Parts: sequence; structure tokens; C-alpha cells
Amino acid sequence: VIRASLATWEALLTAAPESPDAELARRILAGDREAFEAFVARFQTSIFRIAYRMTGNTAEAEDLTQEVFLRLYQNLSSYDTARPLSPWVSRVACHHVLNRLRKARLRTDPIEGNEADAAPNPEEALVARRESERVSAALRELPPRLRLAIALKYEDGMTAEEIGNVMQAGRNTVKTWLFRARESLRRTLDGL
Amino acid sequence: MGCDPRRLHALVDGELTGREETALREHVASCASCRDALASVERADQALRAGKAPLPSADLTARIVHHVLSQPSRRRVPALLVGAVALIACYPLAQLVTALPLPVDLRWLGLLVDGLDGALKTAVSTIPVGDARSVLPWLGAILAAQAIASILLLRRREAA
Repeated sequence: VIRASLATWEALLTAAPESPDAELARRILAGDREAFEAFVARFQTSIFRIAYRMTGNTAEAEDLTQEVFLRLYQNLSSYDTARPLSPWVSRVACHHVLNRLRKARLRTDPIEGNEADAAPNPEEALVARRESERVSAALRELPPRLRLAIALKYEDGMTAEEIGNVMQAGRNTVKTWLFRARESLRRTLDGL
Repeated sequence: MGCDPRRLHALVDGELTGREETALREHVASCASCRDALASVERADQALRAGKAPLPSADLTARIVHHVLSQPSRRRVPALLVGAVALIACYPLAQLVTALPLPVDLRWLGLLVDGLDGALKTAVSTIPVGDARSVLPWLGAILAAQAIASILLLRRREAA
């Protein structure tokens, strides 16, 4: 009996090596501060960019990013370590961002664009600024789901299928969201 | 091929096959309405690509780490507590059970030990590596039951 138990526990200890993602999650759950810093450094830019697209404001986006990381940390034990970490992070982040937008009616400002600063002369700068404001105004009019789909496509470069996995929607639904969002923006820009 | 705004979006996203793209471009060349619409979709696409978010503040990582780690932990304490209680409870429980004059047949005890060993092996093989912490209390419970049954079995055999 003892030999059988030892063999079982030996099997547990000599099981397949854990993936880097699984190791990172395990270390964070064990209270390793450096592991958590590495986790934040790895995902913060991506989450911040999505939050920025949704809020249009740097300070709001940073607050929202902070909230998302608190949610990720509190839910890390639900992460399935047999799967990659990145899609799980995106799913939790998008779920939280959407909830915040729906519940708190998060303030959304015009996107603080840099196009005007980058334009070579004042006339072009003015045109670029006006277009940027129109784009952000058109995006603010979109329902949060459509805005999030646009953010995932243009900030993270996700395909419709990847967006569907993150937002728990079918590929064709996502394609319809993207179509509606861009059609709305197209009509706005045509009106310039 | 007729006018289909969705196909214009698919063209901009590079989702059409070579043959589909050729057919659509031929249609666009002969259709002023689709030509204008395609230019408009491309402009919207460019505007969205141009509106990239800036980089976050340099101290954001430090602020997030400080904020998150200074919050009281919600889930780690109960899981560790359950595991600790299971481990502490194992020894006195084994003493108590083995001291009782239970009329259990040796054959059934042997089957129980084998069954618990099977349950342990199944649990070990199905738990994702690195995720053992979340099921630690269950593993501890199975191991404790197995230990009790094993001790009981050994004592009965000695008595027999």
C-alpha cells in the first residue's frame, strides 16, 4: 500500500513540466511579487490601449487598467494552466471593461490624438485634428460592444475569430459588429 | 457581381481569396458607387489605424503592483485554511478510527484502499500541472482517507 502511494505521488511530482504561463500563475498565487511585476509588465500596455480606446482619456484608462489587474489577480485561481495565459487575460479584461462602461457610464472623452502634432504644417494639423475629433465622436456613439471589437482589432490586431473568443461571440457576429462600426465611422467621415 | 458593402470591408481587411478579390476589383472599376464606397471604407480604416493609443505612464507598473498587492486577499486564505485543517485533522482522525472496534472485513478494506488509490491517481492525472493548489484540499482528503484505511488494514492483518 505504501509503495503504491509513493508511486502515485512520484507520478505527481514527475509529471510533464509546467508551461512558462503556468509557472508564472503558480508563482503569483504563491505570493511572488517579482512574478506579479512581470505579469503586469507583460500585459499592461495591451490592456491600457484597449482601455484608452474605450475611454479616450489617459487618466481614466490608467485607472481602468489598474482595476482590471486587481480583477485578474483576484481571479487567477480560476485560470486553467493547461491553456495559454493571454486569451484568459483578454477575456477577463474585456469583461471588466464592458461591465464598467455599462454600470458606471464611464466618462468618454475625445481621443487625445497626436496627429495634429505630427502634421508638417498648421493647415494639415488643423485638418488632422478635426478628423481625429470626428473619429472619436463617431466611436463614442457606438455601443460598447462594437467599440470594444474595434479596439481589439486596431490595437491588438486580433482577427474576427480571436475577438469572438475573447468576447464570447461567434465569428459572424463579430464581423457584423466591425462592419456596423466602420460603416458608422465611414458615414461620419464622408460628412466632413 | 453586384454591389455588396460587406465585401468591400472584407477586401480592405484582406479576407478575400485571390479570385474573389480580382472579381470584386473588376466590379469596382466599372461601378462608380462601389468605387466611392471602397475609398470611403479605406479612409475609415486609415483613420482607425492612425488613432493608436499613447504609451501609459512610466510608473504605471509600480502603481498597479502597489495597488493590487495592498488589497486584502479574498481567495488565498480560505484555500490554504482548508488545506491546513485537512492536514491537521488527518492524524487524530486516523488514531480515532483505528482505535474503534469496527466490524469491517479485510477484503473490503483492501478494496477501499485500492479504490482510494485509483481516485488519487485519476485526480493527479486530470489536474492541470501547476493548478494543484486549487484542489489541494481534495487531494489531502483522499490521502487522509487512504492513510486511515491503510492503517486499519495493517492492524486487522496483524490481529488476524
